[in-house]
Amino acid sequence: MVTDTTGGGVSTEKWDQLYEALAAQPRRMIIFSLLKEPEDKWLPLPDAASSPMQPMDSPEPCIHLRHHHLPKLAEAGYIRWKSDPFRVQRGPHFEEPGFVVSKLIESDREYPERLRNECVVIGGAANDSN
Amino acid sequence: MTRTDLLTEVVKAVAAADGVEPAAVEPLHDYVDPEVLNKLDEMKNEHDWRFTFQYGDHHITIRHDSRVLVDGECYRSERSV
Repeated sequence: MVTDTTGGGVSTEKWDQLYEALAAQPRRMIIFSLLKEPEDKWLPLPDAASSPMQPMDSPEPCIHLRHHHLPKLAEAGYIRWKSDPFRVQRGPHFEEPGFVVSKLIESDREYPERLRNECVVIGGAANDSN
Repeated sequence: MTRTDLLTEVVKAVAAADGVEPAAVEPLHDYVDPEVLNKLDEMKNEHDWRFTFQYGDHHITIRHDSRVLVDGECYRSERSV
């Protein structure tokens, strides 16, 4: 068992990786989009990462997708992505973020007020999570 | 006027140096944690610093005034949009 050098306890690496992966809205949106679709399906990008709060309607958010968000999710094995055509699919460890995001959505009406005022996945008012 | 963020600036500068579209440039993530550039973006100060890293065949330098150099050359794309 790996020990965590900072805390002296058991490693929390997988959870840290997961929290980091979910720490940006476009990344949460990608996981959420994949969750709604059949396992093997490829979804078109940048649509699968687009949300009302962070629309992918200009070149710069798409640069961030290709150079930051997608490689980060792929490195953890959560997704696979291709450049041409630009698309995304579940990766070998998709069930890790998929499970957590689905649980978060399930209980989003029970959150403390300030959190409840934002959508779990995308932030902002829109909540079409079911 | 919004200033272009550093990640976008670096990718566009490399694309300009290579004469390709930003989508054709290798993922920056393979060379440096993009969060580092976000941190540098926030770190505007009077002190002189520079941050350098290898990106594909290029040597990237970011200066404290957030100027981006590719192999020592300044590819000033649209700094503001």
